[in-house]
Amino acid sequence: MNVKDIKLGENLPERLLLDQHIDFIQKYSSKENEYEYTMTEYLRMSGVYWCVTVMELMGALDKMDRSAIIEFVKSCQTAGGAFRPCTGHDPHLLSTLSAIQILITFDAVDEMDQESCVNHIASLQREDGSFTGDRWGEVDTRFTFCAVAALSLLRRLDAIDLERTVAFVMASGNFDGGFGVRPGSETHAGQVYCALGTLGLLGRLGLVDSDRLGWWLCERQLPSGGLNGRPEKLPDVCYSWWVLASLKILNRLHWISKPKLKKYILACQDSETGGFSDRPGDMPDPFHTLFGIAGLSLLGYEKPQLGSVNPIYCMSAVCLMKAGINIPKFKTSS
Amino acid sequence: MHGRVKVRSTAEQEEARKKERGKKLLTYKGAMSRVQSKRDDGQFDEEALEITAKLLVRNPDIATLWNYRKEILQFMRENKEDGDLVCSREKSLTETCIKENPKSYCAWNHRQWIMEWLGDRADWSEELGLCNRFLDLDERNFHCWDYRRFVVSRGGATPREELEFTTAKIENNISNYSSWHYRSKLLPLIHPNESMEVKALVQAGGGETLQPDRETVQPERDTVQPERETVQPNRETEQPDRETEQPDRGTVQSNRESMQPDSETMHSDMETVQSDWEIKHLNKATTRPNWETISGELDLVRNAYYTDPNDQSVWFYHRWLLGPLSFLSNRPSLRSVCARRGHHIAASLSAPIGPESITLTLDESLAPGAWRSLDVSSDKLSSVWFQDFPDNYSDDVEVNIRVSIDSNESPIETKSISIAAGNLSEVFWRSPEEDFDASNDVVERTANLLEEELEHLKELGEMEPDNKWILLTIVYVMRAIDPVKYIKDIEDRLLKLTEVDNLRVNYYRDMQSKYLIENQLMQCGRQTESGGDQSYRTDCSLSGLGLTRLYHCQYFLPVTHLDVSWNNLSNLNGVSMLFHLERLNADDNCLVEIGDIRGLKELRFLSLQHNQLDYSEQLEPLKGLQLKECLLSGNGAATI
Repeated sequence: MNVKDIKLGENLPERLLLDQHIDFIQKYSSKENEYEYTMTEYLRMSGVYWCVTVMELMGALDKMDRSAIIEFVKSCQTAGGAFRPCTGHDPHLLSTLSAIQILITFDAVDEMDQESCVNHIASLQREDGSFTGDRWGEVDTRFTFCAVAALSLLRRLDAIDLERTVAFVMASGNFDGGFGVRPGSETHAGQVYCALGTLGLLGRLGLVDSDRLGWWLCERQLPSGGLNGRPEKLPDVCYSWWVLASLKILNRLHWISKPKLKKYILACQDSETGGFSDRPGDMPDPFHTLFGIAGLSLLGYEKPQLGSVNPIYCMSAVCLMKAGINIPKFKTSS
Repeated sequence: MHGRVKVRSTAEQEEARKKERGKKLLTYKGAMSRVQSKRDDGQFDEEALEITAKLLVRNPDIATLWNYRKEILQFMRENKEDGDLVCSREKSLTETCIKENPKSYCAWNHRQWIMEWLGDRADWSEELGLCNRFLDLDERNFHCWDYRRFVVSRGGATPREELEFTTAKIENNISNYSSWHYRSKLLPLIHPNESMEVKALVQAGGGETLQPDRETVQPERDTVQPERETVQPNRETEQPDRETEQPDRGTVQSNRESMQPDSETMHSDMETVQSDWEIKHLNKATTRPNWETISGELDLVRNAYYTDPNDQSVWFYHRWLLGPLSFLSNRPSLRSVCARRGHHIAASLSAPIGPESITLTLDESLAPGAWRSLDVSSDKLSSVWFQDFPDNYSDDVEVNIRVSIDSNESPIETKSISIAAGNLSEVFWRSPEEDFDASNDVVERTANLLEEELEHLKELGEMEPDNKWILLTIVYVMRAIDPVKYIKDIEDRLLKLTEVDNLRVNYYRDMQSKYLIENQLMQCGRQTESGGDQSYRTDCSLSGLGLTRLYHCQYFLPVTHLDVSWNNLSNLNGVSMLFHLERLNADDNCLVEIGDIRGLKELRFLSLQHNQLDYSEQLEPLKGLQLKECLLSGNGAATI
């Protein structure tokens, strides 16, 4: 049985096309791109977070319209405290985290109503420690991460029950050392990242079987050098983030081949328009652009040097420091 | 956003596409605007359902539209509309959307919400049928599997039926990871591990014998209720009072009495919150099937790996299957206590624990101080803790020191040592042999089964000498049988693995380091046969072992002289735990980083010659140490 993978073709980009990516992000909200832009308005807040973060990592944050973005973010906060992804769309925990991340990056977190937001997030925690995304009740470890990351950025982790939060994450653990959407769900790299991010922020990485999970994670690397999200899936540049950041948190980043991954990520660049796509030849978008750049940053890419990225928050380390956020230490003991 | 191929097109085609998109955009904007104004106006009617349905079929990820539909349905129910008709329309719509986009969180979630809403009137076998169809299309669709588990939790099928379902899938298909995963949840439910060890641990923790309902597949009993009260949680501070965190044992017991083993339905029993210890250990117990089941399951596994030795999912499963029945080694247990008058008391454990779970008494009085972690990455969970030696203890009098681990974290364990009158310090150290013997990756010593398995694997390995899965699995099984006897075989295979699976070369090297250190530690223990406390060594050499990583540093707590020279270390992570370290030799490694060692207050001699510490920033960690001598030649930064 052949390993499911792609073959890296000839003539794919081998160096970082930084200026083109900056250009790609700037053009994303332009009239030319109106269709794409409008059809993704249901995740606009996250889209803005991806753009703002990647521009900051590329040293081009000043090219974004800071005041307009802050206005947009503020306009999306509801009376209840949560943030909409965009006007006309219901508020959700996902867009709430993105909103806070944007404000922190622009050093403008005081421009939101923190108190009502904290109260709202706390109200989403259930008896078993899990979090729903909104009042409609969907439970997912992604939302646990959103809640914990958001509250830690607002320095209000006191607002929720941390023991139960940890209990729910661990209850979502699996035979392979990984974590799924909720108890019983299959391990998936995105959920692993959310679980490790949560446990990392709460100082509970000691509960994780790091060698077992680290092995599962490093087995995501395919012969092409790219990473998939779970066994027998194709590689995707966004997993250069979910998997890589997870390995970094576990202090096992060296368990994959850095040069081969770097080659894969660079091959995912679109040399015509700029931006990264999930794999070579596909359509680029800001989501994959952020995670391609963030992945390269974690790999220590130089020439040009990228901003240092925090593996738990996926935000610029410099911005976090300026905001006075205590960066948690990752596993330094085995 | 994923898997969208960039298509080359002519200027003409481009123009046509632009036009079409322009039209779609107008339609979309018009419809969304109409929806928004109706909703703002509080209109919950057929037209709204129509417009949102049209939008959702093309864009199932617009959560807001599904939310509006839920509001409309609630409104309709209040107004006594035909619930069944309404729901059948939702079922039809969600199915259309799922067909269009099988990975839409919103669509699957809406269907679940509808089923919750229907409650007893839901047709669970129809839902199971839906799952069957979608899993036929894509056996790895985790949305579908999660939805299936939800259906099953409502009585759509029994665990045994589900087990048969996965058996059939595995026998017929190639991409089986999801099925093996599901089995790992079903087996312990159907055949729980009720060994004496598990019972003893449960009793020690204060509970009754386990019933299978503790492990749930989909604990969604108390999920999604339309218009639920939002939860007002108890706003605990970060260090909760331990008393209030006790699960209500009364509730749990009465639930257990009413449940039969091999219960036909799977109910959520998550009303009680489990302590850290329970989470880590009992869940491990209840997440493992009993021994007979494991040996039976091995037949299925062997079949699978003989059929296709490159099917990776079965190897992941295999590793779990032969994991420990005895998980005692993962229970935090005291491994050393070091006390020094006027300075400190330090304790190390086999696994991390929280500071609220360790108690220190001196001469029967509770120590006034607080534990601090020697693991720089966490002050909440650590395997090495210390606190200052309290004042007012005269050197001329014997002092009795007692360290206890309390029952919230693990069954009570206590160790007492005494510093005799006139003595400055005392050390207790216990060999961690049992931690590695029944280590994370191995099963208790049912030698026959393991030996038999080893033979099967070796046979298969001969047919597929470059198959990394077989090589690696043999390594685990050998370590389980006899880590010392097989040390050379293991080393050879790990070396082979670095060749056949070069991407993961550093993983194999770290594993080799781990096994070497474990063997060294086991050797320490075996040297002293006198039982009781084995002798510890303050002088330790791990030189020239090819180490790439320092594992198990907590076991080296009493060490004052450590030699890790002539290895392949790129950092000194873990060394921060060696609280008593006075001399450290890390020459001739490949250090690019020192790590956070500022807690090593006793360190006086440090040698870091012939490494790769080329920039002054890399030497930052040396500030704050009270070194008498520091050797740095052979580094770029030596000249600074």
